Amino acid sequence: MPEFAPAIRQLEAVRESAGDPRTAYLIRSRLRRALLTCARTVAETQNLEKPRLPGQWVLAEDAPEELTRVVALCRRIHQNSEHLCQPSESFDVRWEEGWRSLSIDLDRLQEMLATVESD
Amino acid sequence: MSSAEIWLYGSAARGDQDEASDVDVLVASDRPLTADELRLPVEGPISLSRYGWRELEHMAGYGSLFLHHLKLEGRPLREQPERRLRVILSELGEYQRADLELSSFRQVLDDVEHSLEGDFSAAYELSVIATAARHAAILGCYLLGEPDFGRSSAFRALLPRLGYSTPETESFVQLYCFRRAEDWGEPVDQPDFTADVSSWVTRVRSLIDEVGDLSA
Repeated sequence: MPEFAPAIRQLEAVRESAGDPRTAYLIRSRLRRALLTCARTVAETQNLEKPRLPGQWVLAEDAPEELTRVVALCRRIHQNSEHLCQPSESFDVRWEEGWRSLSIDLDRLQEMLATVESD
Repeated sequence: MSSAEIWLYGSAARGDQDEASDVDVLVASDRPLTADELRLPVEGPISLSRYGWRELEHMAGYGSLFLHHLKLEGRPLREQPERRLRVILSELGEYQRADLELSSFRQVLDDVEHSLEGDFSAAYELSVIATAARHAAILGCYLLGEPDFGRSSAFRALLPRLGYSTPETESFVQLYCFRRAEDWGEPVDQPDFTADVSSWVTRVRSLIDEVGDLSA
């Protein structure tokens, strides 16, 4: 059974830091770490080599459907957050505009991970 | 292309790009530009950042370091007749978020330390540390009144002033090069720092404290 508890804790840390969108790099590094941990957990479950960096995804062809869904959602969050994660510190205005849709996806991911974890 | 401006910044604007460099392009516009509008007289892979005008004005309100970066070395590729971004940059005040930024870098390092207690990717954690170190070096240069936004030059300008030896300074440069090589998925022609994450946390924490002393 995949152990998604660390990824869930890291998603909660994203939410905690998102309360102050001026701390751009902190939020960005937490978000990317949470997605990386999801990807590494999925890889470990399937005995595949774990990704080193966010944005790298590994999934066996015969992967269970719930893991496929986790990776698909992580991939989407990663892509959608690129615009929020631009390298300068001008995160706050952008964050206010982008957080609503991102937070919906993060909620979904957290629920999905908790469901897989409890199966 | 109503009210859009396009500026070049970063290594291509400074003229110190290498084969791994993106061409950093800023689009100041309230809407995404079309491919035709984005046909630019530059060579190489473009790293595009788009900022709305309201966003840029907000950034100017706290003296954004990114806008200081643009002011120092940005080059307009396309401007509006009223030169809107140039006006914003000409009125730019001092950066007001140094302490907040340093505090967030310390939290970033706390996160890295916490990560080391479980499963972690050394490549990612080093990338996070290297980015915090570079931002701290850039901030330190700014606080010294000698802004420098270069990948290596910010370390080389600041660290000797803080008493670092040349080998110590160059190890920070190498750490950042390691990060870039990892990000680009290229062979790492740098020392392998992956067994050394914990000591890098300590070294960068110390650098951040020293930059904090400049801010005080």
